[in-house]
Amino acid sequence: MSLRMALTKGRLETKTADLLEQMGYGVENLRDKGRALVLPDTKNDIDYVLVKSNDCITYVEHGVADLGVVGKDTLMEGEGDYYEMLDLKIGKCCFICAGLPENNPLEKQGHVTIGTKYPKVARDYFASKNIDVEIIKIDGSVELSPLLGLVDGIVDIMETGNTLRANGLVVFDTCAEISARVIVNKASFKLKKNEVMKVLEDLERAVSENAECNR
Amino acid sequence: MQKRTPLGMRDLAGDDVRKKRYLQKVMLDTFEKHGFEEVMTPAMEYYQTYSTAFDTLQDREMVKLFDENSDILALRLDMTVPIVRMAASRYQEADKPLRFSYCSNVYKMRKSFAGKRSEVMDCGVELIGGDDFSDLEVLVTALDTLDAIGLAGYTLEIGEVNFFEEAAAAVFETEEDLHIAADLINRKSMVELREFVDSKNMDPAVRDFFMELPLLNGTSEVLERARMFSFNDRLDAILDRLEAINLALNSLGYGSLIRFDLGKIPYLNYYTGLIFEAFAIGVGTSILSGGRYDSLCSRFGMPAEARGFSLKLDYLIDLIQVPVKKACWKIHYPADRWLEAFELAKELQKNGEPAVLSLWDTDEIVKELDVCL
Repeated sequence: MSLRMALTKGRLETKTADLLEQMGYGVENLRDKGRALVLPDTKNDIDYVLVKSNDCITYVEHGVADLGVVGKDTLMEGEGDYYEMLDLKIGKCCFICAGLPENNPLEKQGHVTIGTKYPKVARDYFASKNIDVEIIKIDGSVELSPLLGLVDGIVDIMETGNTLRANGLVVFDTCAEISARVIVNKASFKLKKNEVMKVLEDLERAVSENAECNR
Repeated sequence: MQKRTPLGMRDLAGDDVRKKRYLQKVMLDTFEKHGFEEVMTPAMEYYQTYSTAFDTLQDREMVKLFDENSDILALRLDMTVPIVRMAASRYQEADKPLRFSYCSNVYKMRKSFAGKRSEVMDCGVELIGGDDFSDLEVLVTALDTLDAIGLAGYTLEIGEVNFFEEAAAAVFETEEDLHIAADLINRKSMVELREFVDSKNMDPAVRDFFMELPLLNGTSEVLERARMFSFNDRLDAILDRLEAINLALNSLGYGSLIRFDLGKIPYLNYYTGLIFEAFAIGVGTSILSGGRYDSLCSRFGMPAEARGFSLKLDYLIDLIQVPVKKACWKIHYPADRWLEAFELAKELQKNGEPAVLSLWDTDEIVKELDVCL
């Protein structure tokens, strides 16, 4: 039976294509895609679709895509009913709690306000520390909110830390490590088990081969 | 002027209604053949009825209202809890087993824009009281129902919550660890599961057991594979029981439809033993789910074994053919001959033939076979 696999557009898509290519999948269409939205594998009975990260969960949960590749950050912030079966160890970064050096929200007494693009992640993080915080959702540059005095600290994704440093912010804690995960629709895992497991095993092999190389 | 339906609610008409009525009939007929009698319960229950049933109730999913005494009411979330409540209040002393069936709407508040329904029709059976063969009886009823619907491809997947619980009881010290492990295994969240078991100081054999558990699914071969990871007699005994069920279903001719998943452990609900779900090609979620729920009856003060299953009828609508619509007579008539026309229609309808009247610019009464809408 044919499979449909949803890939999160952008960096994850390119790196996932690398892994698939490494295992001999026909990903030419992913490399040269033009305006097409559904891209068939040239060697296997798989269609790739390129989607935004949140949509990846939606498509997989509804079963219109059997598998999806999406960042752990999106899985942590969203909710959904799916199997999360593999860490691709690509797109690595982390959620951090940061702020101005003199104002550590983890140590502050009294009311704490946190700015973030990820309210659920921030809420869960502070709940695990038994700290009751007020969360303010920020859509743009979250780093700005403590500088302007709106919040005591931020919870955000950090890749290089350059923006934080350039604005005099420091990291107080790492909340969670992030990398790309493969999620699987529950019914697909039951009804197309062999096909799904084949892709998962191939990807897992690619991931461990790369880990060997990097050692 | 408000013309929209509330979130997750739908108007149904035409083919959708015909298909729904057809499915309802097929299911209730099958339940009846297996000796289950249809019951109806109110659409509203006391909120307390549900908090009696569940330790951790998903409050936000409930549609809540207040009655005149300011008691909280809820639109029913499922049919099992109301039926157990009814059995415990009206059939406490009755001869067991009780065999009830139902086909009713149930309600769950859904998140905006997720494409899910807040109102779905739940059709199923509950077998309260029972003997050693009652698990088999309920499984066979479920399989016969799936067969009667006439789906193109489906499987019924069997699990057993005690397989996890027996193993976990020996290993995890806190209730919290137990919940985390159950949740990670149930979601087959392999990455976090590995981190979690590695963080606990476990015997390697036990560690391997928990890492393998989410993958112990497929045809009955997984029961043999599970033997290799089983680490005590109680786990072996559960595998023996599942093997017996597998053999029984094979002997009855259902073998090719049966799968097992020992990592199926929906922890925060009322199941206490065998559980099962059916999956069909074309639907991204399970279409039938059920299992054994002894503790629920005790919670309502009627200690008894109990099993049941239900199908979410609305998910099946897109999988079946539209039932053939009965042709209907259209009677064209001039205004001055209305009495004759109405009498003709009455005559046809009496004989079971649908007839509809149509005022027409004509001298004669003309009847033609048509699709009337």
